[in-house]
Amino acid sequence: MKIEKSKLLCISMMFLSSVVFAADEQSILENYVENTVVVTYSNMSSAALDFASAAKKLKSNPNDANLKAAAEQWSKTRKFWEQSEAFLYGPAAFASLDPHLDSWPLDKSQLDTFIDSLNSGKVNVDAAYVRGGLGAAFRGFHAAEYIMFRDGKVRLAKDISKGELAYLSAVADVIAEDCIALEAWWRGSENMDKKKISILEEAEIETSGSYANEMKNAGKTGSRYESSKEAIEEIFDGCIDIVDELVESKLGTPAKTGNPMECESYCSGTSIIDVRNNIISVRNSYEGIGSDGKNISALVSLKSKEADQSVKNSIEKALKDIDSLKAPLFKNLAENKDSLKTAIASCKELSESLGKAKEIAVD
Amino acid sequence: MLNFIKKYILLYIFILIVSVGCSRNNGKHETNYEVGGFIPKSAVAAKVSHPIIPFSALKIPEKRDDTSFKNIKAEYIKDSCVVCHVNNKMNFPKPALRGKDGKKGEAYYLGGRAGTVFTSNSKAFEQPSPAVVDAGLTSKFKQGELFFEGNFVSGKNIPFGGLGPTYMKTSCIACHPGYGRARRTKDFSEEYGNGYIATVHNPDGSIVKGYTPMLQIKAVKPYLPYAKGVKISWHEFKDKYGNRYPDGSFYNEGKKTEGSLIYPTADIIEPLLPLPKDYKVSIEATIGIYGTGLLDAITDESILDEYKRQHSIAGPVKGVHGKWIYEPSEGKKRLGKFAWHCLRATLDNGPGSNGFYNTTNVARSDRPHLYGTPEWIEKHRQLGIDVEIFEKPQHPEISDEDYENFMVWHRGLAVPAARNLEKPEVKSGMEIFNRIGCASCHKPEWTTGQYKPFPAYSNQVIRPYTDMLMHDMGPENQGRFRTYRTPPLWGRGLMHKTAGHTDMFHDLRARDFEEAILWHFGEAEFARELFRNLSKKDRTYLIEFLKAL
Repeated sequence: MKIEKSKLLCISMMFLSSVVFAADEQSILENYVENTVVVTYSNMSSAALDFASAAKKLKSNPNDANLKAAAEQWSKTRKFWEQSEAFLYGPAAFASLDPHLDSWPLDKSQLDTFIDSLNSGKVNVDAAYVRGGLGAAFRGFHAAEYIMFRDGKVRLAKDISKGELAYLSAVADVIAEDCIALEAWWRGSENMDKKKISILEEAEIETSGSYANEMKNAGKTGSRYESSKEAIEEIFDGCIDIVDELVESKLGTPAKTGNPMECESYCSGTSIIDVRNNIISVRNSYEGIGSDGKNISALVSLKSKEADQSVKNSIEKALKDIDSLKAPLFKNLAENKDSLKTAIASCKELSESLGKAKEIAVD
Repeated sequence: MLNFIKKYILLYIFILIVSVGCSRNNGKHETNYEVGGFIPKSAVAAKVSHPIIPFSALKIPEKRDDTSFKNIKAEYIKDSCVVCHVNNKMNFPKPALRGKDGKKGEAYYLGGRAGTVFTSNSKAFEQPSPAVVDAGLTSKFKQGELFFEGNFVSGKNIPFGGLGPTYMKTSCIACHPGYGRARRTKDFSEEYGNGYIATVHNPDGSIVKGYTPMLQIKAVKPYLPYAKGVKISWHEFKDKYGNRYPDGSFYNEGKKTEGSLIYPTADIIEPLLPLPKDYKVSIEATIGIYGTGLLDAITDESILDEYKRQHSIAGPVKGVHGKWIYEPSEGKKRLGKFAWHCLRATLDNGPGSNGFYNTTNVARSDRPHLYGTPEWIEKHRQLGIDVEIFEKPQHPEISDEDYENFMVWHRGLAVPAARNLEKPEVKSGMEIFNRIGCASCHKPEWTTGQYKPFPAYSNQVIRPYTDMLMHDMGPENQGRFRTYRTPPLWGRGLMHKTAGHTDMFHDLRARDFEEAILWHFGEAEFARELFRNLSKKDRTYLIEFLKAL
């Protein structure tokens, strides 16, 4: 049986292109986990350690400068958290780190009751107490925010009780532990910085495996992802989920109800910053960070330049429309009425673009 | 005369073969030439050919003519018995693996065309079904989802307000990570991912007076919870084979858990109200939510037909249907079919609808009263805590519109499509699943009836792998009761992706599929025995099939 040379060449080309394509997916996944996910979580846990130090300093020396420094470190840590919300799947979900770090809405009533018990000296609080004895409503970013901020501004140090400062320091320690745990779940504890590992050991927090390796090794033994396409679909779904949350909840609910308490992070007045960072999270997932073209965008572009451009345009448009909202959101809901509609429409458009790009990428 | 002799020779050979086949003890195949045995009277009366049952197969040898399967040791029931005594009158449809267009065929659509999505990542249980999307209900679905995921807080007239006075968790997702089942825990107070609810009950399973059916261990101050907590203890279990297969290998071979099976018990910590001396505390696993709208669309008549089938044959499997429950929204009684003990009949009246209320104590127009007891109120009164407000109907703490959206979300959660059905090992696994009798309780296929809440769910062929009936799972599985509704198997192969674990069974005692099968006692013990006696390869194939669902 003879095979024509041209046919042979054609078959070889097809084989080679499928190999190249598979390799591309592999390098895209590697870039995504290493340069977007792990870097974001690593930055977040380092910032959280700085926040814990600042909160400790504030506890031992309460003054406005130290409070401002702690608040700034909180904001920095929060920025990385919001920039991670396009990958809330995996460890953030199954290790309950998302609710532990970002429980919302704020249970102001129970927090006030708890603070009263701290002020009366009935309760001594430390990290172990917050970690073991209190629920999600009493830990995480928003509990810390409630101590440091009111009405969109940093409070005055003189208005914060000793009990509150001790509580803030304990909450900050637990935030750091949770952020480190998240990094460890992805990176693998054996690849962690020694200081971070010792903090996990002291808190008796155990993680196992490396989610980064599972994603990078999609389709191979030991990975929960049966194929690289399945892992890529996960990345898309993570992006779509957070954009839909902006549409239905973070922007959608305050727009619908006009209720300032529906604005997440209303105490610090940083709702719009949160939302912006969520879109950055989508951009970092889709276009990568320092990815040198090895990103999801390139994968989509290979199949449809139009679909890829549509996602990129939608991201930029959403950012522009979010930037045009007047901050703080909780104080400007009426004034932002039309701008909110525009921003929500842009986010919807982004969700749809991502949906179409996903179909193309995993087809 | 010759024919007569021939018949007797054939009968002798038949008896010999059967008595050899029926004699299986302690997992070792032994040739048994014991002549003592009997043919059940019912088989004789029906003039059907039936193998001789050796007396050694009986739990109580004196009851030799007892036709009840209860007297036959599970290890004596063979594949050949399953054909007539378990699988009788069952259909084993073979839906197409591929359509004419070469795309995935009906076999993959576990939730039918209207209820299946092809998502197999961590979001596999979180997707809106095609019925939701096609009906333009996606936004309502997403709005409803917010109430599943959101945390309720104390206080009135604020977003997500109304938590308490007592509660279990602040959100639904706390118990249903990834919208499925939560994991086992040693610490009942664990807020997220804890897979348990606890009940304080009498030996007959009735709830101890004064306690709520779902024990509430949290409260908004100054109110007090029903208990400070629940202590969970784990115990080793050894079966009569020393946790080994007939080939000598341990259960869970090659895993960290090799040779081990463990189960939990529970007790109450610092109860608020008095308890009788013989009180018990049991823990039960939370269950998955996806696909429940499709289960709701199965008619009561279909379930009764399956009940009748199981009771029309002499065999070990005798499912019990739920009680008839009056449904206010329909103005008539419906058959209980939801939750572990079929205590809820329709989706509109539980389990999610009720769970929402039981978990958070958030009042709404169809659940205006406190989820609490007169004894709890009286106790507070004795302690000087004002509870007058809870003695009358509460102002709704979630609007009808929000609740309606929640129910659109609940009903509309799709079932993930099956995977890898064309792999030879999965195909073999399915054949084994049917052959050893798993399919009798884990009934593969149903056709839904007319379903008004979601018309697209009507007349769908779905494959949940449950008979919607309760089965006695033996004293080894005694909890509040020892009968449990057969849990659906659809989507189970994705648990490790959606929630990061594979804990299952009524109290999450099983850490994976292998353990789950090995915890089948009672009515299902014969299937456990048949599984134990499979070759290692066939056991793996069966599990590969389950993973593909």
